[in-house]
Amino acid sequence: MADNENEMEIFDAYLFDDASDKSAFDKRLQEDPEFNTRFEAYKTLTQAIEKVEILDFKANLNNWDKEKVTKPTKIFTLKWVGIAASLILLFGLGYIFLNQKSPEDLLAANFTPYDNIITVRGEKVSIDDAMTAYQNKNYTAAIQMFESLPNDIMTTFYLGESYMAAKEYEKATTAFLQINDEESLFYPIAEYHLALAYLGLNDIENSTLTLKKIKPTSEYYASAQDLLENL
Amino acid sequence: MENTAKILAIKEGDQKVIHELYNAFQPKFVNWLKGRYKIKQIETCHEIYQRSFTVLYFNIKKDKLNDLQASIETYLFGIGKMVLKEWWREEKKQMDELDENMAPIEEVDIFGNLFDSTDDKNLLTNQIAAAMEKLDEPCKSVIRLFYWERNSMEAIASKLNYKNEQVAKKKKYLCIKKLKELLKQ
Repeated sequence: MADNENEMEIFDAYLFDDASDKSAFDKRLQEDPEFNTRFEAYKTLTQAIEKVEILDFKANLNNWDKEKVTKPTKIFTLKWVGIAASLILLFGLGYIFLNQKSPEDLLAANFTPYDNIITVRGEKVSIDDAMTAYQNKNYTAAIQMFESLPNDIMTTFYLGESYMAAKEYEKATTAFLQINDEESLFYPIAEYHLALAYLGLNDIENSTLTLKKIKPTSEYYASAQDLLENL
Repeated sequence: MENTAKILAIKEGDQKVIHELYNAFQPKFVNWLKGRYKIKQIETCHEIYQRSFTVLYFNIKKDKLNDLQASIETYLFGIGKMVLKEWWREEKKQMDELDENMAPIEEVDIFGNLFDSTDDKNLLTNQIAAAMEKLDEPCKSVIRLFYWERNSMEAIASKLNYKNEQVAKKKKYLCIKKLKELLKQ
């Protein structure tokens, strides 16, 4: 530990100030074992203090996660009143605030076309083209291309998303209902968007049923609970 | 909000922005872990996400992302791959395919030993966490402002209404001494 506040200042300059001249300090560390010991003790202490900050931050993240599961209503408010503006900026979409509660408005407020998370590879030319059209929000072209591709879970999901964005909700439900594999990457979001597609059809009964099926382990559970409260 | 504005907000400790970003990236990140790496336990997915987001936060805070060209999200997913590697190393599992399509983040220090360190260091960290809980004000603030938020002595003097930076420097020394005393209890 530092002997006094001036020595601590020297230690701090060495540890935290990139601009400080370190050569004289290094020389003293080599030549003065007691100084070296005090410095090492202080360095260990500061590293541990910094690590406490990491624990503190992570505890904060834990609390945010807990809020989502145990207090869906509160999250609903935080999410939509507090961050709606940022969401619009983040995703570039016209969100509608949830104080308007018609099925159409709820759908508009909750549906965002899922991002392109496909690792595009050169050899899959058709998928590349379809995903590019999708990413560019050219949903009519994307639908045509996805429909011409082999029917796998990925193309089915993005076809469903394209139908949603094009407001062809009947076709969107058909696509999402084909995604049955609960282990699939797309299952949780497809399940949630199926409920939204029913909303688009003004089919509150099926939308409610679908939302109620969403398990607490799904990332969309909190959103589903929020939506159920407004149906 | 633009990349630069988000980075600035995070650096300034804007909890609202941090919370929003944390929530915004989570579903996609967790889906990505489940789909691409077949991690079935949701708790594991959340732990890896929390670690990745923590690394992201501290890299931004420590000025390592000023010139970031890619989006924060791309960077986060790059971190995620490395955190996942660490995770699997902990779990003693093979993940050779993780090397595929690694995001170009080589310019960034990833805080390699952020979450795994020796038992001795973990013990000290836990002891200090407990001691910091017991610390009274203004020591708690002095330590936070200096070691966590990297304020200068002049800034600390101004924020805590001390006469000058010499007083703040003395106060910090005494607070560290107090912390050490609490560690001995």
